[in-house]
Amino acid sequence: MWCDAEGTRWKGENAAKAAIAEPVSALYNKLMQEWDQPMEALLFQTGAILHVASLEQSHVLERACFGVPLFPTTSDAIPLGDSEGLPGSIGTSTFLERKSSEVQLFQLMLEEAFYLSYHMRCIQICRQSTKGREYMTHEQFWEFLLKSKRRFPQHYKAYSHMRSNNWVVRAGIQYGADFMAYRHHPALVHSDYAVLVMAEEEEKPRMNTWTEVHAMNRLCGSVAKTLLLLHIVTNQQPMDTTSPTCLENYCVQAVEYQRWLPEKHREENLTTKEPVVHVDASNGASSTLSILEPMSNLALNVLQEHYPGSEVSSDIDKQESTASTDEICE
Amino acid sequence: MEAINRALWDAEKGMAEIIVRSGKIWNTTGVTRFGLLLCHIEEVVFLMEQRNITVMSGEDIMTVQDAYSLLTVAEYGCSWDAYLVYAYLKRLGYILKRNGIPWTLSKKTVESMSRSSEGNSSADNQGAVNPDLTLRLMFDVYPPNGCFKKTCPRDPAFHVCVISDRPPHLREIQACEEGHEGVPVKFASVVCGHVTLFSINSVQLPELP
Repeated sequence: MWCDAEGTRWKGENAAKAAIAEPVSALYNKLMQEWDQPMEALLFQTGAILHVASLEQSHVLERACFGVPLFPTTSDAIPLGDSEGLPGSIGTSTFLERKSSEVQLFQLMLEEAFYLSYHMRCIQICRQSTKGREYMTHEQFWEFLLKSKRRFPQHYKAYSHMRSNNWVVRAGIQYGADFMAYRHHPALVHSDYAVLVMAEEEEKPRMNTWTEVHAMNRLCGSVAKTLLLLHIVTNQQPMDTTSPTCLENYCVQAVEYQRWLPEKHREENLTTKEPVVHVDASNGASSTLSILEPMSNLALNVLQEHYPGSEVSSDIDKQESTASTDEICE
Repeated sequence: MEAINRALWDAEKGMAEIIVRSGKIWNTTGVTRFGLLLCHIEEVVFLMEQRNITVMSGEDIMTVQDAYSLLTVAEYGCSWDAYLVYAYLKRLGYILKRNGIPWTLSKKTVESMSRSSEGNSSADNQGAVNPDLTLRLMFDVYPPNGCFKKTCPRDPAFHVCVISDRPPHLREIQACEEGHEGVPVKFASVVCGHVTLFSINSVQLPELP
């Protein structure tokens, strides 16, 4: 892992350089250019299959993390649904080996399909019926989406808000979240956020018990991601969602949730050169121990007797996992 | 064996007056009021658990059970759950005080306070309560510091809001972020005796390159 000046966790210095060389905004601009061959997406209940004729188009889609490559697959192709390898110049080269004339299929989630068609205007949506293939307008697609997914407007607002700020947003189901947000391709950078979409006026609100907050936090902590709640709020009540123009009336308010471990922050903001820890020993006297000096065995015994599992030692910042922290809290 | 430190519990005031003191703990425990050193119930309970104080309630010596029961009295301003948060952080060496009350009050400081525009006559009120906020800031927390002085404590590292029953709502989180002179607020969840602290902050998602 390599951290840059802003604290972004890149997967190596080369990854950071690759990201600077091809920023996400440049990829999005490429997608929005005029293509000789338009891309068509066939809609089904829970997603769409995108038909991509040119190699260049599929590279840009993969680099910008839209959709999951479905077909064709070769023996050493990136497995379906689990891709973290960067296609093209970095990492695997399976797609370079493919002939440029070969069609590729991607599976898109609903938010991706709407974003590519409505915001980026680079794909067309169609449906297959007994009468054949029919193209859909944005309004028809929106109507379909309102019926397909609960709270689609709010989910889409969250998705499009992040994409419009040049974040890479993917499905979060494998991590128990609504979305995962990255600062660039997942092959180059560790994910910053596990995103949950919070709609207002829910009959069954989410994250309204501590149990749920703890569960989500533990889940995120185990994969080194921060929990981000995107509250989708509006001044307009009631909201008319029949047209996609309603999206302009929503506002996104982002809130980060992080567990804070006092065991790991004792040394911050100290005003003295020798940080100390107060320990009240059982014999009635209070003894002050310096945590940066090696502890005498007597002192250590006193601590361990009264605070079993305590990590008041010179190696305080050992582990990151929450499991070990729970031992401290006992 | 009785502890060196002794205190007298005043049930009406809801505080203990320290009448015999010994040791460095008093640099970071209790508040000074016109020359008297007073402790809130959570400080008393914590010291009693350490067997570091003897507390008299009238003629009787207070037992630890008596002290625990006083924690459940709403008028004394500290709930059982808030006590667990207090004890957890104290054991790790942090320095705690109830929010909204000064470390020291003497005749001099009261005079200077009444001269300034904000005169707070209820110096020992139970923490600042923001009318827009249904949540209350319980404690001010200072980092472990062997040279801590009540007379010049500097800003706390953070405030703690103890809410056991549910996580804070969005509006409550936002209300906590306003004011408090940039001192962050952390939220303590206390469920079945387990204390967990959360940093819950509004963020402005940056536009990336």
